[in-house]
Parts: sequence; C-alpha cells; structure tokens
Amino acid sequence: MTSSAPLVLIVEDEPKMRRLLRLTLESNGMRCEEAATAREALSRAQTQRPDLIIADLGLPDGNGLDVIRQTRHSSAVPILVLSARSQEAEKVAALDAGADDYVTKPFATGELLARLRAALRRALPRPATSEPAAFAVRDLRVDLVQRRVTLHGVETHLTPIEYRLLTTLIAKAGQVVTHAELLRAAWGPAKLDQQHYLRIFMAGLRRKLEADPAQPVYLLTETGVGYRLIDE
Amino acid sequence: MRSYVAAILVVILCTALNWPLSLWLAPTNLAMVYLLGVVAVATRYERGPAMASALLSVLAFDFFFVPPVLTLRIDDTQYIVTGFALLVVGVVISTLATRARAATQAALLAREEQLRNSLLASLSHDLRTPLAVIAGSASSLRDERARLSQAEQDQLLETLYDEAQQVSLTVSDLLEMTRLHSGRVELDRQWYPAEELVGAAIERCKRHLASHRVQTRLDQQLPLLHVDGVLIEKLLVNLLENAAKYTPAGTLITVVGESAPGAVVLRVEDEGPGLPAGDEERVFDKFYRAAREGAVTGSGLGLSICRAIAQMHGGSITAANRPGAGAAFTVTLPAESAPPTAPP
Repeated sequence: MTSSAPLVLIVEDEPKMRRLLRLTLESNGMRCEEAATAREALSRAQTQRPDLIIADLGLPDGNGLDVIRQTRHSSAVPILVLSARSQEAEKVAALDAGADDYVTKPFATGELLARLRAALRRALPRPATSEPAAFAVRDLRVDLVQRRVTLHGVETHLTPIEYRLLTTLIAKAGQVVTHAELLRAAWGPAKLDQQHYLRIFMAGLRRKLEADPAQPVYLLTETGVGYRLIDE
Repeated sequence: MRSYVAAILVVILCTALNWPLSLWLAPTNLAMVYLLGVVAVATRYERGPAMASALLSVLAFDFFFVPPVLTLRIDDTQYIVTGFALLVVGVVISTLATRARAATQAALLAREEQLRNSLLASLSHDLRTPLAVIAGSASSLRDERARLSQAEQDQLLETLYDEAQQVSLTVSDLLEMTRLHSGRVELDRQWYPAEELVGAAIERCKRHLASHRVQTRLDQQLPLLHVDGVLIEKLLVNLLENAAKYTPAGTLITVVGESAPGAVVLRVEDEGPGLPAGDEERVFDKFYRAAREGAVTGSGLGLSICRAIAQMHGGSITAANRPGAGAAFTVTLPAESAPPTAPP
C-alpha cells in the first residue's frame, strides 16, 4: 500500500459496517479513515483531506445531509451515500445537498467498488485547459469536439437536446444524474417540474443508442431519482 | 341507550304507517308491518332493543288496532294468536340476527387470527431458517476451515450470501406490505413510458434473471402511464422474480405491453409449469406459496404486494395459465386520457 493509494473517509455509526467497509476497501488498495458521528466526520474531512467520503445518512448526532452540505462549503471531495431501498426521496435530497452518488444497502461489493471507481475517476485532476475530447464505452463512442456519436463505428444522428442530455450524462459517467440536473441542462430552469419531457427524450435517445430500448445497457434508469450512463 | 330509543321510534313509525293502512287492511296484516320493524331493529342493534321492539309492537298492535281499539282488551280470540305469533317471531328473529352477527364477527376475528398465525409461521420459517443456515455456515467456516476443501468453503460462502439476501428480502417485503396497508402511502404520480419502467425492472432483477432468457414485446403506440414509477417498478420486479423463481433455467420470460380500451395492460408470461389449477386467485393471498415443500423461498408476500400496488392505482392484477404452457400475470392500469404535450 503506497501513500498514493486513495484515502477514503468512512462515515458510519455502526462499527460492524465500518469494519466491513474498511476490509473491502483496504483489500482493494485503498486507505481508510473512520468517523462514527457527524462532528467527527466534519473534523476528519478537514484535517485528513480524504479523496472520497462514504457516508451513511443516519448518524447519532445529526443528519447526514448536514454533513454533506457543510463538507461542500469547503471541498469538492466526492461523496458517496449509503441508502436503503425505497428511500428515493432521501437519495434525491442527498444528491441535491451535494452528494455525488449513492449505493443501496444491502450492496454487493462489486457495485460498491464500481461506484467508488467512477467517483474517484471523475475527481481526478484534469489539465485545466482541455476538456476531455472523447468518451467511449463498449460500442459507443462520442467525439466531444466534433460532436459525433458512433455506435459500432456507425454514426448516429442526435437532436440538439438529445446530444445535450447525453453530454450531461457523460460529464458524470458511471454516476447517477438527477432529473433536475438533466432538465436544467437541456431546457434551463423553467421546465424543472416537467419530468415527462425528459422521459420522452430519454426514450428517443435509447431508441437510437440501445439495441433493445426496453432492456437498455448504456442508459440505465434509476426510477424516482434520475439516469445513469455506464462507464465500464 | 340510543338503541332503545331507536327501537321505540321504529315502533312509533310502524304505528304511524299502520294508521292509514288500517282503513283497508285487516289488523292481522298490520302485524306484518310491525314484524318488519322488529327485523330492522334486530339487524342493526343488539338483542335487548330487538326484544323491546317486539314487545312494544305487540302492545301497540293490541292498543291501536285490535278491536276494541284504544284499549288493551282483546275480544276476538284470533288476535290473541296474532299477537302471540308477533311476539314469538320477533323474539326468534332478534335472537337469530344477534347470533348471525356474532358469527360474522367471530369469523372476522378468526380470519385476523389466522392471518396473524400465518404471519408468525411465515416469519419463523422465512427468517429463522435462513438465519440458522447463516449461523451454521459461518460457524463451520470459523471452526472447521482447516478440514474443508476449497470447494466446500466456497459453497458455504455462497450459501451465506444467498441466505442473507433472502432475509433482507423478506424483511423489506414485510415492511413494504405494512407500509402499503397503512393507508399513508401517497402515490407520486408522474408520466412514464411503459418501456422505461419495464427496462428499469429488468435491470434491477438482472441477477435473478441471469439464467433465463428475457424478451419484451411492447406496443409502440402505448400511451404514457400516469403512475408512481417506483411502485410500478416494484410490482414488475416482483412478477419477474416470481417468474424466475418458479420456472426452469433457460426458459423464456416475456414482458408484454399492449393497449386495451381505456387501459394499458402489462403482462409477464413464462414457460414454467403454470399455476396449480384453481389457485389463480389464491396466489395473491398473503403467504401463499405454490411450492409448499419449501424448495422455493420467498416472503410469500410478493404477489399480494403487487395486488396492493395495482389497486392503489385504480387497476387490477390477475393470474392465469397460458393456453400452451406456463403462467401469465396480467396488470391492467387505467389509461388516462390527457397525455402531456411534447416539449418544444
């Protein structure tokens, strides 16, 4: 383990869950710090400068959402939230507060690690002058300079709104993007309550990019939250 | 007390009704009107007020309608028989009505009791069995690891994971069922293409469906659904997991979406053994399981959750065997007539 291994701050009040997370992360080459309370989390986030924070929302001394908000005041560190199934409103609130993504409990290790990798990748410092020139996953390639989308090497024509939705998802590839973020990116703040616009256009995008739009492999739905473009 | 007042009022009402009728009808027939009053009281109230109304009816009948009227005297012996019959029938009816009501209540209580018992039985089976397996597997791994082959260890670990998933699923189904039946769930209705919900559901049970072939056949002209997407996804997930659980590996599971007059129909079809004949309705009961030997695990709540969700949307769900082979679960959701306009 080297000092260049990413440092993950685990914010979780349940000691056994902390131990499990530490075990999983350390065996995958990451370093861990732990915090059991909101106060501890905030001070660790300040002093240790972690590369990523995994936070459970239910903490004994405060709301996990406050931890996210306060951390966001001073830092852009990726934050991954642990949340229970059928708590979609809670997930959206955490994302609105500044979290980058979530993992639903009980989680499979593979899923957790994929989310971590996506969040860490996005946080990598990029050369400030140049935006990434292209995005590629499986058979999908998007040339972000020439604005060309190819599937199996064949060019696909997207409408301007479809292209804007796709690039918004590419900017957070591997991570969930909420309905509100996508609506704002495609239509501006005026249409934030018109989720069905978004759904109709996502359906159009799927028809162009997916072999079977009813069984998508690139553009996944997170019902009640938003969409996720796969990145691996 | 109120019930006795009601009993007196009913007798007064019958008397008022009989007063004009007595011009045309013989007094014996007027007794029938009183009898109706007694039946009305007996079906609504306890035995006491019912008996009181029977007794009062006899007295009122005698006083107002049996000659000589406005006295309690009875000159014609046939009216003694009428009055006596009125009393006896009134008493019998009030006894029977009370007994029937008690029986209905007892049946209701028994049903609740039965439900509670099967809940407990289900809990003890569905939680204790996997928990025992989990504890057993873990202790084998802790104490016997040196003597176990790599393959045996892997098998125990696989079991540990599967059983833990099972417990987690059972608990969340129980919570979901309780939540849906609490009456406090408000639907978050949005407009969804059926395709998106079907796709999300298939994605969510990818692991369960891994050994099956899955195909979708959705009508291109399907109207948008105005539904709570999270709940409808849950409904479809339950149906898909059910199909995966009860049908052999390698068989086909098809999700069909089609329009019907005033409705959108979503159907999950499989190629498995189908439903036991006559069980098409019972599969939606809480804790029903098609395979009773315990070969198939689950909370036994999946389909009753589906039904609760369909009904909350003003829709329905039915199960049937398909003409060839396999089962089909059909969800019918009302199609709403105001589809949103496309954005600019």
